[in-house]
Amino acid sequence: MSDLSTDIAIELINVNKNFQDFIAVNNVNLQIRQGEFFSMLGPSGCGKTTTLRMIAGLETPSSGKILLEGKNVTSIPAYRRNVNTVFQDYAIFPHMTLYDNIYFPLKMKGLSRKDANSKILKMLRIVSMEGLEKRFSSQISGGQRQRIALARALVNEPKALLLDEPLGALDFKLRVAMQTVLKEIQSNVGITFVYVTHDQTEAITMSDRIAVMRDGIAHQIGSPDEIYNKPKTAFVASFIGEMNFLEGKVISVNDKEVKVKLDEYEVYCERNDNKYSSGDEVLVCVRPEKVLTNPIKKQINEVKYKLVRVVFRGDVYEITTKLNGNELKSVVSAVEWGKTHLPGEDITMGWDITNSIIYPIEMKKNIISYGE
Amino acid sequence: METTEALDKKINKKAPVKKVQKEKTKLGTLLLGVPVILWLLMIVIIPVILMLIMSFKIKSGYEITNIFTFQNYLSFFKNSTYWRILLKSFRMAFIVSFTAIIVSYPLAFFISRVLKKGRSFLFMLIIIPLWVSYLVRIIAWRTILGNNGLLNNLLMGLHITKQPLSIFLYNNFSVILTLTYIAIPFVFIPLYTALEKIPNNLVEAARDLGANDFHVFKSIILPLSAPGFITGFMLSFILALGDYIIPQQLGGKTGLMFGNIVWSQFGFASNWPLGSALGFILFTIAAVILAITQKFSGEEGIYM
Ligand SMILES: Nc1ncnc2c1ncn2[C@@H]1O[C@H](COP(=O)(O)OP(=O)(O)OP(=O)(O)O)[C@@H](O)[C@H]1O
Ligand SMILES: [Mg+2]
Repeated sequence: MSDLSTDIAIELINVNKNFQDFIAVNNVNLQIRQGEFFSMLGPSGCGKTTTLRMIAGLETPSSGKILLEGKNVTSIPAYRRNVNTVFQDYAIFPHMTLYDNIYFPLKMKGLSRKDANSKILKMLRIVSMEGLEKRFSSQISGGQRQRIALARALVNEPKALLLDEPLGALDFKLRVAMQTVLKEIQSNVGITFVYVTHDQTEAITMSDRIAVMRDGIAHQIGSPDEIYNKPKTAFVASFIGEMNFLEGKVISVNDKEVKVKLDEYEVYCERNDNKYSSGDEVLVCVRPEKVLTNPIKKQINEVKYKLVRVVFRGDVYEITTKLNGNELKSVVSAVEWGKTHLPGEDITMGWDITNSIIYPIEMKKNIISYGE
Repeated sequence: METTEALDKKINKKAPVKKVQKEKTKLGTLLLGVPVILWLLMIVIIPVILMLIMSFKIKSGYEITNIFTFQNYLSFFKNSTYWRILLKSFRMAFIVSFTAIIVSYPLAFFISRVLKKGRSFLFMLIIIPLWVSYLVRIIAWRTILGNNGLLNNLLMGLHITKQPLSIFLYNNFSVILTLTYIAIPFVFIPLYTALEKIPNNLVEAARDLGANDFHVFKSIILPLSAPGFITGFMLSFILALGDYIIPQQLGGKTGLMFGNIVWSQFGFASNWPLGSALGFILFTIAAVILAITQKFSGEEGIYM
């Protein structure tokens, strides 16, 4: 086990943070591995920034412990912690040249300009900003500022780099480009990245593991695959990607699956950590892209719902069907949706048990819905 | 559907229209500027020109003769008392500004960046003297520093001295002290504004990158409050350089400043042309100082 613990770069143990009587971070436990690209994802105000600031040492936890490489740093100030932050608005010092901005952390370490020079030039090369080092931050673009902030934070070779929505201020194209840059730099320097974002696509495409947070609570910590395909709570299921939530009643439970009555149909879900017994009201969930419309092969779960609308989304069609109170969406490619159906027609919707997730009905209030 | 060509045409048509609009708004702002320029002309430029004209005339007997002469300027350079007092006024104004900044900076720093609550209250407290008449505040200092004043009474009450000391009043010290007191709000305001404007995330970034409190102050706070320094110093310097009431009220024989000499030419010496010349010299110096500081503090949008 000792081997494993040295493998852990950052550890949060029962960390809480209150602002007066408001709980911003609620008993968070995290283990971030060496060299990992770890993301914290969640809606606005869920405590991502606060958690990151506690790791940086810019905020002190109300209770709990923070370990960096196994060492308790909870009461060590920011300037003596070997982690650096890239701030959302970059915080480039406006009165120094870009060169001096990158020199700053080295200067604080006592390096002379001469000794620092080669390191600074190397960082400028890594972030592709050679030749611009004599400029000031007011003379470069947002994306370039981002690179300088990155170079400045990395030049001291910190144990971990903390990034607070570093791409939030950039336009879409630049954001996607910078995602690749960030990923490349991370694999080149091999430093642990802790990345805060509220953009789920960004988190899923870039991260090794993700912590999904809400109201100061870490709902689930896992790989993008686990988070997407095996969401632990209805909140996680609704926050990441799109999800159908159908209400039903448990018929029977065995050690592998739960049989649920959905309207007049019977469907099966994989069992998970929550407890279910017959008669319980539950939520049955399946992602729209996992739902087949009028499947050729018989599916384990099949229901006949009435077509409500068809929305053309360019690459795909979004099919919405309904029965009683339950709405079931499916996303199908344009090729598959060749036939013409009219609203009100019965459509058979089918999906596999491995894509069928079940939650207790109490979790319904945690569902996040957009634009409704 | 529109063809791209049609779209192109549309865009091309639109472009010049935009330009015209821009020129129009430019003209509009120019027109709006006219009253301001007229106003400036009336209250600043015309008086200065009148003063300049006056400074080239000469007083003979009780009359002011309308001949063009450099006589007044020459007498400034020839008469060493004039420029000696001018130099001394420079020195005093410098000491005043320097002291005012030394006193105001910690205050401004504490109120703007350390205090979490009660900022505006303390700010007001420092600004409030500006609402009290200038003369009243000067007289107040006379009662504090005088033979029978607060300071002497205190010293005697504490048995530090036996007799009232007359070293506090009617000399350079009392003038500098009072000028500094008058200058402090004028220095404090720009310093406070500059300090308060420094984004906190720059401070946090510095701390995050390994700077302790001392280095945060030295490398971030101090350089970023430089515009406040410059503005404050300049305001106080010009204020002190041209003042004649404080030296007159508290300066006695030794505490005279250049302003007193200018003033006396308009008063009992009644030599307006010479007074105008001396005044214009002072004005030019102040204008040059202003221009220099404008150049240094003119870097707007530093927090991009
Ligand atoms: N200094 C503070 N004083 C009081 N409340 C605070 C303070 N800082 C943060 N909070 C509160 O704590 C909660 C979490 O804030 P935090 O900045 O961590 O959110 P976040 O997840 O980063 O959100 P966003 O995505 O909007 O940046 C918010 O409700 C916020 O209002
Ligand atoms: Mg945040």
